[in-house]
Amino acid sequence: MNATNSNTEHQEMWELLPWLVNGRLSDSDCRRVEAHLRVCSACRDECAAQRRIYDVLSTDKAVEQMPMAGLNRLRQRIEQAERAVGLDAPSDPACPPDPRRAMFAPRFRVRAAAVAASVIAISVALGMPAAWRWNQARRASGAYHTVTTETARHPGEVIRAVFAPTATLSELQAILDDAHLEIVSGPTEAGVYSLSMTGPQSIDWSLRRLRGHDSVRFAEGLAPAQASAPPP
Amino acid sequence: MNIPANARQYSKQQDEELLSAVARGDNRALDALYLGYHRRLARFLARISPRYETVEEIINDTFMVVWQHAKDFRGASRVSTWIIGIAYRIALKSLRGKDGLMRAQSTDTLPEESFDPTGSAELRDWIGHALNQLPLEQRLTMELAYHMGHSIDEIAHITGCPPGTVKARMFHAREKLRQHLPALGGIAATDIFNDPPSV
Repeated sequence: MNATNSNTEHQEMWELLPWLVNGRLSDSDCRRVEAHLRVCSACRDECAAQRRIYDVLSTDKAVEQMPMAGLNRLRQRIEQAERAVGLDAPSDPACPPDPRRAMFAPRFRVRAAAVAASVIAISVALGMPAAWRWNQARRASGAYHTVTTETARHPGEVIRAVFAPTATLSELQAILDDAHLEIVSGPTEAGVYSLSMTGPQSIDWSLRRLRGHDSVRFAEGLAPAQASAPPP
Repeated sequence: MNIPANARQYSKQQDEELLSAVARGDNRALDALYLGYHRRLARFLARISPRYETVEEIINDTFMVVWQHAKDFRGASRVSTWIIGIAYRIALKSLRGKDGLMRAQSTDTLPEESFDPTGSAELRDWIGHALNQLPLEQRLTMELAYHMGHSIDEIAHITGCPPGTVKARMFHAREKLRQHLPALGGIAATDIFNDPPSV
């Protein structure tokens, strides 16, 4: 092998080293690189260096994980998009409906009803007749609401939250105590509670405490202007 | 189809079955895909953006596209490659428009880092600082290879570039790391690198 060929091969093997390190080379390329490593000290050193970087980058980094909260927001977003399409598009017998629109909305409503049933049970156990009446009024109106829908604010309301359907009464109370919050209204038919502060901490502090609990499916602060808006 | 209880990795076949179900309008399948990929995507994106809100926004934008375009998937790549490719493009678009998330400029325009390698900083921090100096495409390529464990062809598909471009980006990323690590701390650079290739 002449010097030019040797340099070309060296360059080619050098470029492949990261994928030798991450184990994603083809078998044939892997054999070629390993053969080259036996005769090239520079590539051996580089391979060792890249392995150290790989070890650092491939190590899991601690990330706040709230997949259910994100999934809930995605569901709401999809439902809103599907409804917008449904409202905008007149019925056309020549154009069959998108099956996703037909399948998603009923199922979402079933899920929302299941969540609502569980949180209503909790609310009754908590003894919240005012919240129950408010919820029933909302239900009777037949209006469509999401967590982010503009609705009348309640005095002191700064956060809206949804809890896991499996959350027990004592768990719910412990979470609220931990986050220095109390229920001022709710749950809605979608299981949304309106919460106010009980301590001097910031809203962000309470949100972080809430989101640290597995049983909290959703927690969002209200915009300052909204939070201070007077009740109807 | 049951929703998995927690983030979970699926096989290629399971992914394809789930995506087919999504294309038929099964939102439970979308839930399952979302939960299966959330952890991977969140960890990948968290290395690029420090803001969890941005990470979640990118993930949700990604799955909106998955929901809307599942029927367009033709199986030319793995489902995982397709989904991560969508996330990659959304991340590029999103991160380029925001301040303080990623330095995408030429490293020539960046100020010298002030960093004390003899302090308590560890190798992880040194590499993290050096990675922040890389142009966006180079850093993403390195993350896709080292953090996500993708092959050259997979990264080419995800990024929409020829395999040669992928190798070139990785090559330049490695060289830039070599340049920046001495600035961040000669001890780290010496520990990690030796002489570059004589080509």
